[in-house]
Amino acid sequence: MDPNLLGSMPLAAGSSNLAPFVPIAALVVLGIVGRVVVRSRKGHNTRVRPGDLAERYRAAGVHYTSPPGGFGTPTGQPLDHVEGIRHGVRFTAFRRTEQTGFTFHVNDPNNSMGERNFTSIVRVSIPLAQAVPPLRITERTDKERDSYRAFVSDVNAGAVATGILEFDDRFLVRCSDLGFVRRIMGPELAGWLRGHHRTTAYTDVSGPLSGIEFAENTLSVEQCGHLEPDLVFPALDFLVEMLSKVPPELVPPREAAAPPAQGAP
Amino acid sequence: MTAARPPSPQPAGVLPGLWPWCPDAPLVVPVDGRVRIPRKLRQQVSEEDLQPAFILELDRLRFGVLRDGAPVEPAQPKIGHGPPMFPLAGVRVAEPGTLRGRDKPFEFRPHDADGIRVQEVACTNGPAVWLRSMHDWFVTTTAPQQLAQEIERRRRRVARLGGFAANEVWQRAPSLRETGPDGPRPGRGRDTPDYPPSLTHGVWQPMTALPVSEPSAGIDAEPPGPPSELPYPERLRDYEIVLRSSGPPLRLTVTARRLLLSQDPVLGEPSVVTEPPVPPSAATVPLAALHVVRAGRLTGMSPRLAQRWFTQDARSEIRLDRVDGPALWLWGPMTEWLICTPDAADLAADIRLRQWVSMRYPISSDLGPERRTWYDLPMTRPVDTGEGRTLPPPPAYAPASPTVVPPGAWQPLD
Repeated sequence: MDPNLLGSMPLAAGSSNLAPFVPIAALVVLGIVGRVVVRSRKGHNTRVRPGDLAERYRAAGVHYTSPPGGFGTPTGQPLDHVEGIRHGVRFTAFRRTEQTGFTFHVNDPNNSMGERNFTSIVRVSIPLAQAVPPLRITERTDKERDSYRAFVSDVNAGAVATGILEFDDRFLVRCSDLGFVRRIMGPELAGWLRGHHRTTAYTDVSGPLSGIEFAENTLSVEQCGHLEPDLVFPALDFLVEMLSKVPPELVPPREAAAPPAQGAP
Repeated sequence: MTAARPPSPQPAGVLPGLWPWCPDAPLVVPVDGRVRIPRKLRQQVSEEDLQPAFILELDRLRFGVLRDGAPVEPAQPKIGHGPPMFPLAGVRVAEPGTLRGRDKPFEFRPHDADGIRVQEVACTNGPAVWLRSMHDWFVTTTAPQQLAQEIERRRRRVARLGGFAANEVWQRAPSLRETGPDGPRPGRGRDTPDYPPSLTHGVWQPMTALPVSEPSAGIDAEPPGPPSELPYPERLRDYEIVLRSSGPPLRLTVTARRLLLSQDPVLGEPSVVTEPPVPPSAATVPLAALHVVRAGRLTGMSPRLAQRWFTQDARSEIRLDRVDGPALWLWGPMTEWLICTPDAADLAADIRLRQWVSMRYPISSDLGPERRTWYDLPMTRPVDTGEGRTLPPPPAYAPASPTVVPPGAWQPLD
């Protein structure tokens, strides 16, 4: 465009005509920007691309595997999983889905049967040096909050009292081997569990989670979500720190971590 | 309905039992009325065997059921329901008088409870005591002035020392306790009528109240300190002791969490994580529900003196004989047992140890012996102190000595 033409256009008169539309235009721009931000954040939370995850894990020296055909995998079966070494401890983590409810479509003639609701669960495990009897640490169901469930179905029954009163007020330890409970549940582990800020996330079993679990040769925790590093690595740090509170004969020897992949961002 | 009422095994209205030789003992007044038996117990006990009774305890009153003159233990209430008892702190009026001129009995339903219970109490013309809390109750008795005097004496004790659900009552109705020249005394409450509202005028003729004697003192003792070393509950061995009894043999079973009295052996699996169900033929008390566990010595006992009651199914009789010699006194907010046994001192020490173990290693279930007791009876909850969690001290309204023996007959050993 000829720059001389610009000088001949009635800019002053035009700007005065457009003045009422400036706030509207600003609002439209803000709306578009907000929509883009919301969509990007939403996509970040709900859509996890296996390729992106593999890249992020490779940067941390962890091997990520996503089996094809995740959709349709039976409930409870591993979907995708990672394995590697962190803080000198070999670990595995996998994701599975559990049916946690059912939605009925009463007024929808095209889908009168409704649909099942699934929850994605990530389980992070580290090995132990020897086999142990099954032991689960969960949180007591608060009778003030959920009195019907606590009393009628007696959800808090069947746990072993550790004798550490503040711990027993809040947690349940379920294990059929009393000797193992007495050996592992000392004041140090109990105090650490009470004080750690992530303990509630792993021991609240009001949903489909199973709590902190000793089983066979592993120590595991579960959490709802996708198999992302932001969820796996804090759980792993929690388990590794917890490993330092259990009797030393259960702690496996440390291993050297694999070097991060070359060229990783 | 009145014609279908079975004949009373005992004449209604008398004041039998230990009173007045044991002034703080439960006072039992048989009354007319109907008893309701749950369907599952109707094969075992008939309505003719049972009789309603007004039972006045140290800090509460209730309408219970008698069999052969001995009270039947009330069933454990449902979660969220109070026991079928009424706190003396909530009584506004206890007035002796005479009911006259009614052509049919005054009937009322006292409690809505599980198990064997009093369905209806009937008060006919004659001397009676008018009790008013929220509703009017009448207790037909041949000695209304003495009964009202005793109720008033125990009300004064509750006003001074507290009692069953007293704090809850005073929190809702502060006017039920007043400050007098010699300390707190029971108040009449606001808007309390001078005449029974359920009766027409002229039917109730009040009597002169007798002067009230001094209420008994409460306990003044600290609980014993924690033992030096607490064993795990799985290390404690459950055992039973056969008590000498003039009736059928009676067994005292001691587990890690509760005591049981029964005629049949009830020893089962040890209760570490879960607890075996208590058979209905046994009387039981969780160790968490006991405030006083003390050994002592009884002297001057009459050979016929005994503490008798029936278990919840009204079939098994528990008879604790009173004999001179060592005895174990157990008192809790809902329980008082006085067990005469030669090894009372060792038994008391062992039960106290088990109380500490039970407090430190409670069963995790909310319906277990410890947590259910702490929920139902908040005064039994352990107390957090600077030195850790301890057993709660006995409440001030706990009696200073066993209520079921005459004063002076009990000498503590420790």
